[in-house]
Amino acid sequence: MEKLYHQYERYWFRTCLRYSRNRSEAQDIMQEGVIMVFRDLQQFDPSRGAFKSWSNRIMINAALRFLKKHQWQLSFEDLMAINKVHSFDQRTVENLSAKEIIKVIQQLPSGYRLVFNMYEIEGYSHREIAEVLNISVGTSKSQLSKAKKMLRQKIESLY
Amino acid sequence: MEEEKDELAKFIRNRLVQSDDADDDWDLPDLEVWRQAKEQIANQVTVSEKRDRKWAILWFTLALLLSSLLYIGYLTRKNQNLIKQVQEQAFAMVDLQDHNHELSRQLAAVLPTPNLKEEVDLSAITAKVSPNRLHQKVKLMDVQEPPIQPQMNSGKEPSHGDLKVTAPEKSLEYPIQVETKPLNPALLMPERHLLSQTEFLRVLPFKSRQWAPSAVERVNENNWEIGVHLGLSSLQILTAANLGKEDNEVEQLEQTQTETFHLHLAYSSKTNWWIKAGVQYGEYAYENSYQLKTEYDESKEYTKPDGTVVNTVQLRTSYANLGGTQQVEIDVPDDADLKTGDLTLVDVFEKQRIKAWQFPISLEYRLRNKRLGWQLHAGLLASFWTLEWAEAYGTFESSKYESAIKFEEKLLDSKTTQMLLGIQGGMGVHYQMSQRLHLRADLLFQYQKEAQRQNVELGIGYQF
Repeated sequence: MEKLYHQYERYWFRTCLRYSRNRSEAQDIMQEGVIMVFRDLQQFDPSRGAFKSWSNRIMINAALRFLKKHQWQLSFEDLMAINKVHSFDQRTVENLSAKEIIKVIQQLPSGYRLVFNMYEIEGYSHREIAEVLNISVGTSKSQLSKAKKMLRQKIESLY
Repeated sequence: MEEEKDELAKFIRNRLVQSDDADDDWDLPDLEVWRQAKEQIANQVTVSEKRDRKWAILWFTLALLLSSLLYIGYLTRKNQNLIKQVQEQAFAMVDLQDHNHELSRQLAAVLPTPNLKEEVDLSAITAKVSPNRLHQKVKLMDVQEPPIQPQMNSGKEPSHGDLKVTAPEKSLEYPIQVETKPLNPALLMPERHLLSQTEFLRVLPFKSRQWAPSAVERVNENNWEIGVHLGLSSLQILTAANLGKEDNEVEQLEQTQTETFHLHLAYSSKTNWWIKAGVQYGEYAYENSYQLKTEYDESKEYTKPDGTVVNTVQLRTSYANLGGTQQVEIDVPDDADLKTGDLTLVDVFEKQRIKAWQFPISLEYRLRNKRLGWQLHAGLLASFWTLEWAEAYGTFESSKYESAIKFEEKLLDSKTTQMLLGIQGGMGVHYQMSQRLHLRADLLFQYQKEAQRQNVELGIGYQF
């Protein structure tokens, strides 16, 4: 059990960091997620996919549960108007490390962060996101668009 | 532009998937995470498991009740069959006694008969007055000796237990000898014996309806009783929370369920009436979330030694008058730009545990028909409650930003134990398993100003 944990802890923790606002929250999510993974380990069916993706999905579920529980304000309102969109400089972004990217993602409001992670990183469709988060498909799309804008803005402000 | 945005997303995705070996282990959780997770996995009782366990207990209780009712039905039927058998046997006894009378008459007819030369074997004339008492054979023999005197047992004084047969003098034309055997004294009073049996027959159906008269009498002699009960309890209490001001208080009626354990001691000074005292214990877990609106107050901002700016609010939560005030810290980032009077929202999630010791005293009336009976009881209740804070999380939200809030360990003021007084009443059924033991099921309602509780209990009582 310990070996399995240490094999995947870095991978799981990165997922948790992406969905949380800070390290402390990510650790809480990680703890819940690890408990769920080992509790449901018997349900894992290797023929239906790799352990890595199965366990990652559990981590995402743990993150969603945590956010629903502790952040009632998972509001999907527009928190700010982003009018000014700068041109994208590929070289600027290439210098970013994974750590810096995650820090930027953490600065996104909860709604933006969730939709961006689920759509862009995990590969959920807008329909799936809408079902999981109990929002409309339109909201999911607009949240993603605004999340990307805000992300660009934050990345550019780093340089 | 759209392409650029997709490029950015693609780049982020690729960069996150790549495993860069960081020097500072920023993507490794603290060791504490694994330690605590391991601990919880070892004694894992998840919320769903707790719910499953409660359902299991409920199903078990229902199954037990159902099987008890089936068993009671089976015993009632068996009891009816036994009563029927006893009645049949009793009637058979009466038939035998009638037969006995008939034999007596035949005997009387035989005694004065002259020229009785042959041995008359009256073994066929067997009087079975009672299966355990008499199987007496009377044999008449032809004797050539001098006629016997009415006084038998040559020279021996008749003693208690000897049968004395006296025939009318004029009918003793021929001497006869009668073999005698000691008899049960009861048989010397056949009429009385018969009467009592007839009486038994007359009252049998009524008596048997009361199961076993002797046992009932004996149970009534047992004035003391001790009992153990296990139950499911549902507790409703009033919870409240505010941020230092009454005007932003949120009140909720919270309900939770748990298992309870109950011991009782009872005394009966009058038939069917019992006075009971006991102790009940239950642990109730609560999960509460509050959303409290408040106006931001810049004057409560201060800078911590590490340079971060925090604001404090005082959060008061209470559970049926138990509770306390906690100092809650809110991180205020530099760019928060919060002004006094800005509307903010504090969202709190708490887990609490209440341990309840209850001491009820009540008067109970019981009535039983055969083995199955019912009971009604009412009384007073004193409870001692202890509140424990288990967990608390929270978030702070304004239109401009959101942050997690921290709960300080220490409570500014708190009331974690208190005594509550109330009343209780209930009803139930019981089943007398033996002279001393009975099974019982009770539905109990307890009312206290601050809380209401409903109990379903299954128990066993022993009388002595």
